[in-house]
Amino acid sequence: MYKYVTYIFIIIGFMLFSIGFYQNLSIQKNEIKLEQNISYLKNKIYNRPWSALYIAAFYFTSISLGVLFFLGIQYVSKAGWVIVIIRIMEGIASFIPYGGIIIILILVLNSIGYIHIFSWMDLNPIDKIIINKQPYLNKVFFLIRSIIYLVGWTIFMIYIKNLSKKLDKTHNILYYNKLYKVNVIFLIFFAITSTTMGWDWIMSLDINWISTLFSWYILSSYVVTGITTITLISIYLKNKGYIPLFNNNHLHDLAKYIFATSLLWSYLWFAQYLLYWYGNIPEEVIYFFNRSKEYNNIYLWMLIPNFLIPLLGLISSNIKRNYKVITIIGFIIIIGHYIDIYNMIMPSSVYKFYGFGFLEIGSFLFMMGFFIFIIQKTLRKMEFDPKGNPFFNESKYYKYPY
Amino acid sequence: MYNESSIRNQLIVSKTYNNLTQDILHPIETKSGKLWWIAFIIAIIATLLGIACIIYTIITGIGVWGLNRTINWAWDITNFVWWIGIGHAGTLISAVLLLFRQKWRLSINRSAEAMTIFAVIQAGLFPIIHMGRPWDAYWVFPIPNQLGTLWPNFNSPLLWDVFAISTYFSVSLIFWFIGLIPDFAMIRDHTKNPIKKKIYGILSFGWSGKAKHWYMFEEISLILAGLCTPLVFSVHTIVSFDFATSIIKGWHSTIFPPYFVAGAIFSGFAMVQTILGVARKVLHLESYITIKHIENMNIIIMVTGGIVTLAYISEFIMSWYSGNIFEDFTYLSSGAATGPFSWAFWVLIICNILIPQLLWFKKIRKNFLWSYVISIFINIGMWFERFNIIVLNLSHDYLPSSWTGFLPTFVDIGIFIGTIGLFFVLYLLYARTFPIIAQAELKTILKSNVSK
Repeated sequence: MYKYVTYIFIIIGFMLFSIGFYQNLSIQKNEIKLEQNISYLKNKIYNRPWSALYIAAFYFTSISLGVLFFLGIQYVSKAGWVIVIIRIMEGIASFIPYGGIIIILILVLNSIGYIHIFSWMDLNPIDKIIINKQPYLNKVFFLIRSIIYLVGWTIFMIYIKNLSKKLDKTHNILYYNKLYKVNVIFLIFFAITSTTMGWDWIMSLDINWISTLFSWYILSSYVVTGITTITLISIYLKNKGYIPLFNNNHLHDLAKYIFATSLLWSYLWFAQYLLYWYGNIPEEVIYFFNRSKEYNNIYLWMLIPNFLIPLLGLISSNIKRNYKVITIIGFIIIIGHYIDIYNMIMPSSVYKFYGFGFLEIGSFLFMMGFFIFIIQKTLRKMEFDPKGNPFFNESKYYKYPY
Repeated sequence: MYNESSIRNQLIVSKTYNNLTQDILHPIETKSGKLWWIAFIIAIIATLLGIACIIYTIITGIGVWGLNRTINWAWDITNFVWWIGIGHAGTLISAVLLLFRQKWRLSINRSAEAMTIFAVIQAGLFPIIHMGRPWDAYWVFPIPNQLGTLWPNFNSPLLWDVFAISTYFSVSLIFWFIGLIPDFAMIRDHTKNPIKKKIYGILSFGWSGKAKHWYMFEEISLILAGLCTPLVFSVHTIVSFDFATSIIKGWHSTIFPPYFVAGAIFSGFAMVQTILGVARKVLHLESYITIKHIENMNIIIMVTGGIVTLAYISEFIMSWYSGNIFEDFTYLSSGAATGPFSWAFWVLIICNILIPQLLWFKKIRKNFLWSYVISIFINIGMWFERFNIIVLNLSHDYLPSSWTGFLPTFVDIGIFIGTIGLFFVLYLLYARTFPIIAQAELKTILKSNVSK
């Protein structure tokens, strides 16, 4: 039964998306009402299906990426508590190439001019808006970079998974040392690529707007969702009895990480917002100004699920060990950060023609089904207890506070 | 930890409880050596120089500094931020590493926290001197003052600094003192001198090591660590706002807050290496502050240094990417790398980015002397980072006719040397009277070693 749930998600998602797509295509341009009658802005209405798909694809791929990053940190910091759930992390990280391909597909379609969510790609390269950015921001280099990110992350993900599998089989400490080294290199690669990826995949949607912090802000967002996803999947598998070693001490630590990274996200949100609000420079505040005018201050409202609920909900030690409450808060955070990604991508690509309908729900369900399908497929092939890891016993008998 | 993995190295070997007690008591019970007196006298002389320069400044006015109309902020604020940054490592070690249950922090936390407190004292001096009328310093607090209508400007990050730093200082001080209580009690119980016994008796608040006391101690440590962790962020975030909002009108960079926090930890750990390096040699603490501790600190320096490097690169690329000609001369841009302050720019790059990369070599990371030398370079580099942000940015005003340079006067330099002197005076006094290692807590990890 559970095996088919993902297929149902994928099929329903696809159907809803198709309906939405058809509806979107059948909109006549002269029916659109806009205060200024600008054809260029009106065209943006046709970006909506692609933006919706891009949001969902980016959202789920970045979850996997955030999990791989978190896994890397655990290896490099020689964390002991986490070992009983590293298989789950490896499983979630496996989605990177699949989601990544959809992102690359959208980028390629955009660069050949079939879709238009990256408005700079439609500009003449000698346009004064982007001429100074040419050496970095041109279609060819942009696609090469995107492929480097994706291939790089995928290779690291596969290599880390293989090494950890070998470590399990052989109990050979040499593989552990190798894992440590590979993860150090991965973290360096990730630090650089995650920064430029943020500029490329998200910030360049708004070609005139820059923020030096932005990539770290995106990073913090998907690290939160990544850790929340680990927690939710761990709770699910625990309830199904797959990971009996997982207990509320591990849950406590995961909840602490959700709490800490949620606050980190809020901190970065605040740092960026405050500096732009304080500076009040037109080309910078336009980013928030458009979002408050056309999008009903969604960037402020999302602080409720992303900041206030984790802050107030997760501060107590007892709640951090409560499976039910953590599940509820986890789902709230997951939704909250979907809003965050939506708020980054949608306003930049579709102007005011946004909505939340068949397109968004459909693409979300479709990608979610795909995401869960891949994770299920990977996890089914895995042994859940990494017995070969030298810290396995530390994790097995982990108790907080010790 | 129970079931500790066999691949984890034990931190402190071949020490018993009694060894530890005696080693901590030794500098407190014995008379100071020659080396201590020499260092102390030099520090006192430097302090006196600083005090003389401060008095001269206050009597004559801020004009005796090297400031001019364009560069109206220079050494004072550079030193202020430098000292605040140095203070950061102590809080990180004691609070954040406590939350992460990193046991290697135990040999170094006490001294790092002391360093925090002494560094924040030095930092606090600069804004007070810069006010020109230090006796009116209390006006920065939002209490109705005698002028009636003049209230602090709540829109200014400089005022937020007052709140952030005073909170930070008081919480750090309380945290430090709470940690000291069991150790004071140990000294009280062991010392033979009746006056010392009395003093340490008062300081230890009647600690008797009951289970209840330990329970309270653990609880309060955790709560204070929880309070300190946001403070690690808030203090330097607000310091970065000082520059991001007000140094040049219309210029700011959103990466400043997190990057300043990382930079502060980077410089703070460098200073811990520098200070503890001396203490380790002079007080023979090699078996407590082992090569493993030095390596761990170096790794933190590498990580935070990496974050700082990434922020520099982001700054540099984004100032080019924006295509804004007004950003071409600012901090970390091609204009800065080639302009009149290019020497300061390159000192920053070499000390903060290039030299710390040597730590990637395990041999260098595990070598006391090398990491000591690198830590000094980082201290210099981080000073230049603030110098670049302030002086380089200010040197190009909006009117080309008022573009100018900056030269410090002897008063600027004197006050800076004075704060270094005062810092060492406090530190040297601390080293002779305080338990410089958190022995009560350190004994808990000796125990786990014995029981194995």
